[in-house]
Amino acid sequence: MIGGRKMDRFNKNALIVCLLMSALIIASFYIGTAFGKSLEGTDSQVADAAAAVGGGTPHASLYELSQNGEYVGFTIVGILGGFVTGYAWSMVFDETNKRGTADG
Amino acid sequence: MHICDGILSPEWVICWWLVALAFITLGVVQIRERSKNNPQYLPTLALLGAAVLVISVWHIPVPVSGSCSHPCGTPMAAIIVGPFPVAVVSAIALFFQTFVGHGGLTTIGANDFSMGIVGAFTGFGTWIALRRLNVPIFWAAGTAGLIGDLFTYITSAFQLAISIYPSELFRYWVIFMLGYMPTQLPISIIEFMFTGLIIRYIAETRPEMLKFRAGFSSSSLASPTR
Repeated sequence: MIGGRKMDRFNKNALIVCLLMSALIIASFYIGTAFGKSLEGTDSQVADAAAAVGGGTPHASLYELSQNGEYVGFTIVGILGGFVTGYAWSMVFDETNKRGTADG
Repeated sequence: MHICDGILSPEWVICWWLVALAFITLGVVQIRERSKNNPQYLPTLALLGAAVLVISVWHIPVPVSGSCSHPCGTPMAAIIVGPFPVAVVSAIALFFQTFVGHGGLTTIGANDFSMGIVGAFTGFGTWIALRRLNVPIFWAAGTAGLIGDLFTYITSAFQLAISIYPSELFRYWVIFMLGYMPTQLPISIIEFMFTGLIIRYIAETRPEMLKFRAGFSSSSLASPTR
């Protein structure tokens, strides 16, 4: 029950998936750091290896984000994605639009 | 697959841009046609574009390999809206991701080719093939997600190898793939899970959404009962 309204099956499942994914990420991060792993992104690791053998210099187009900047940047991406998803969600999944509006 | 600037040679940067632009043009044409006939097509595309934007920067640590990586989301999007429009939303997502230090402006063409084109087409092809064989929706969609994810990284490794060491293409292709795979294999299993679950949810609640792409409206492809 949230705000006097009962959660439907989808909301329950979505919440469980979010909690499980958060737990998985936290546990993976904890295990990785406990064993002294850097947990750096694979993309940048392979790019650095490619640059080392190929002679290029990998760099970001605009700017390199600092550690704190990454938190802010990814938060903004999450918010932007969330707003667009929330805005479009009701148009796509609204019960009043259900069935009969899409082509076959 | 976020290849950053300064690695690919200029001729390959231009080549991947030209290939990506061809697919993006066809994608824009399809989006215009389908949005005329279906008022729900554009909101669905926007929803999936936002999902691809977030999913493809969603870094998940893999303690076994000691690094982290992300799923793609493009196979899931291709199942719903078709692969050509996914080339468009993927390019837009990759543009925004350059602002958070992921990928580069000159490499949007190469990255769109691996994630938005190869990832979408291999995922979509797998989904179509498995549904024609009457594989249940969860397994067909999940396998599409897994295959699309892995092929995205196989393509990225190819792009790096052919640009940096064309004379020893196969050897460096394998080396770069071996760099990606220890982390990407567990991530592709996560992509399998969420693609299968989301497509099954859509098949149960809004089965007509799986017929949004023209030419594939056979009932066997989107039967919500399996």
